[in-house]
Amino acid sequence: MSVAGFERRDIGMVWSLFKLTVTDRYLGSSLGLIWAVLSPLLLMGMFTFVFTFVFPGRLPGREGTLPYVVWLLSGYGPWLAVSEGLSASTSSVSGNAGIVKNISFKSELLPVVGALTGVFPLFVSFAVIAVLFAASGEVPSLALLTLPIPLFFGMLFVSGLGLFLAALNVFVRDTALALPNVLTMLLFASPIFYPLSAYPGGVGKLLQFNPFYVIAASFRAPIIDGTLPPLWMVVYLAVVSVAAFAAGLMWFRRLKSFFDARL
Amino acid sequence: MSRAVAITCEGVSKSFALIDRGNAWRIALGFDASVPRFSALQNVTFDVPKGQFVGVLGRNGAGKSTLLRIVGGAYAPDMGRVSVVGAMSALYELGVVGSRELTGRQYADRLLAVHGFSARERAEMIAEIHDFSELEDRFDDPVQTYSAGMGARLYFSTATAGQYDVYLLDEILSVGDQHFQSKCWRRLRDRISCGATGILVTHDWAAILRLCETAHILDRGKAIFSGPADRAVRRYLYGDEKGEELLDGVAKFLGPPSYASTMRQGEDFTMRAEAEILQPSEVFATFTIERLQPGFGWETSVMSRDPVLVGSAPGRYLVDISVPSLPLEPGHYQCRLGLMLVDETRRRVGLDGFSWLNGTGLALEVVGQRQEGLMLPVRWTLH
Repeated sequence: MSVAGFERRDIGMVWSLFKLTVTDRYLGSSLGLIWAVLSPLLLMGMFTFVFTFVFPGRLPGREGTLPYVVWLLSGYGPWLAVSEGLSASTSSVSGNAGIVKNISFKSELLPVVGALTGVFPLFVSFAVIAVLFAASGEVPSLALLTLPIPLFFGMLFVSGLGLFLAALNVFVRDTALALPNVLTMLLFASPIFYPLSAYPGGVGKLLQFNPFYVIAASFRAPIIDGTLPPLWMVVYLAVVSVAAFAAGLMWFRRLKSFFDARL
Repeated sequence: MSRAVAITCEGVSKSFALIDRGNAWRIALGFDASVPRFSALQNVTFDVPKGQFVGVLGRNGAGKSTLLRIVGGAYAPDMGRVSVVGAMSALYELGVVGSRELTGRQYADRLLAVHGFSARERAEMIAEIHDFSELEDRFDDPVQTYSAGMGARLYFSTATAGQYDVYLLDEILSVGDQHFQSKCWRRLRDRISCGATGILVTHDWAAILRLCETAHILDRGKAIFSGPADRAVRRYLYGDEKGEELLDGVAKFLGPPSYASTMRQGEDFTMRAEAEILQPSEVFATFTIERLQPGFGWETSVMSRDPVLVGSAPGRYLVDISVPSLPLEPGHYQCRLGLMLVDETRRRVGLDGFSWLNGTGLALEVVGQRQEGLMLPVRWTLH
């Protein structure tokens, strides 16, 4: 059985590559895997500090700092997963030239594995949110059970973009260099540190179709309000991520035959 | 009798796009037809029967490693078909996979994991790799601190740790010290005797003779020769044209020599050829019996020590060779008979000859029982 040219044994390969990518990234560092937890914690701490003490943000209709922090982290965690995943994805092929040239496997798995490394910051943010919930005595709602849906489509979306960028980066190495700047711009252009309502009317209507916002919002709804994300969002996210993945995969497979000349 | 085929390569062609900064964008955007291409392999076809190692010889850049990667599936061919039956282990160039900060142990573990061995199998195999590679306590140091030879030991040990059906080996045997090389040979022979199949890619012709019955020569992407390993090696070393420049018009043989091409061990060997000297000059003759044998290498069995004078005035001469009670063990041999001039510096200028180098080899088969001993010394003459 094969789906989109992937077979069952590719799942095992994804797992091997995932372990390999994670060990490679922290190889030679003395703290090793602790960095996978430490760096998202530092980033979240920094932004929480800035947006609660320096420029105190307000949630419409809610009082207090704690709900704001939870709101902030429940959107920033998914964003970190997206940006980490995209960065890892983009350099996944050029950075693993040895594997691509020496092992017979489907190289389109590499960007997917890159996207999956985004789960580290996501789970760290979930853990922090769980601690905050426990501290405030709030009872999580059953709506949390829907979180795997945005997780799956978010990963699919990032994999799609990652397939596109990873293949491009083999030929135009500027891609990986430009990406951090683009990601920072995207972060501030997406309603993640501020609510959508902070935009004047018309712009907000348009911005709600920003897929990065949709991903963050579908994580936020169950965590903050205990409600399911709006149906249109789920459908929209599913359509956009499947389309992005299909397009990225086609692009990647077309360029793949040229990799050997560039790696 | 048809033999089972483990590796099939049919009409395989491969070209690489020549990508530079200017046209990388064109490829990315899909205008790839306008990008110049370098043709690395053209229409290469061969089979490897199960239970054999086949050699691929060629100079640097002839397409050997590309061919191996295509067989191994790391590259996709532009055209043609490749099929490999059975589990495969491949070692391309110096098979670095991933970061060079990995220790030898981690490298081995990773490669085995990629090949799908379970954690328990890996633990056992890694102990075996540690032992075979003789890296001892350096096994836990990063690969980047290894010397080339140590790296080769690690890569070879890892790639051949499992019992695979098919091995693809690239240049690996040319690195490493004598002691380790002989261990490698032993291991490969073991694997072959267990029915393993393989391709050995190298420019080290001696390695091909030791391991392969059949070999192919690649030259600028084309298979220019396929056949028995010893002949391939000759062809590779001396090329397509005659092995030596022959000087025309001084002396020549009038026809192929007469001799018995099959004889019993210990019989008297005789060969007679008629030569004609056309210009007055001192013409000499030499005679050699050689054997090229996989597993041993080149072996000159019988050789005339110095060129023997045939004559100096124009006319016809008989060249007689006789080796009483031929001191050769049963097997297939090749005779070489040549006419030449010898100048004051003892440099030889070939005039005519029968030899493998120019495709007119004189085959000789000695039959008999291997166990029979031989008595040395033996006197023999050429006059």
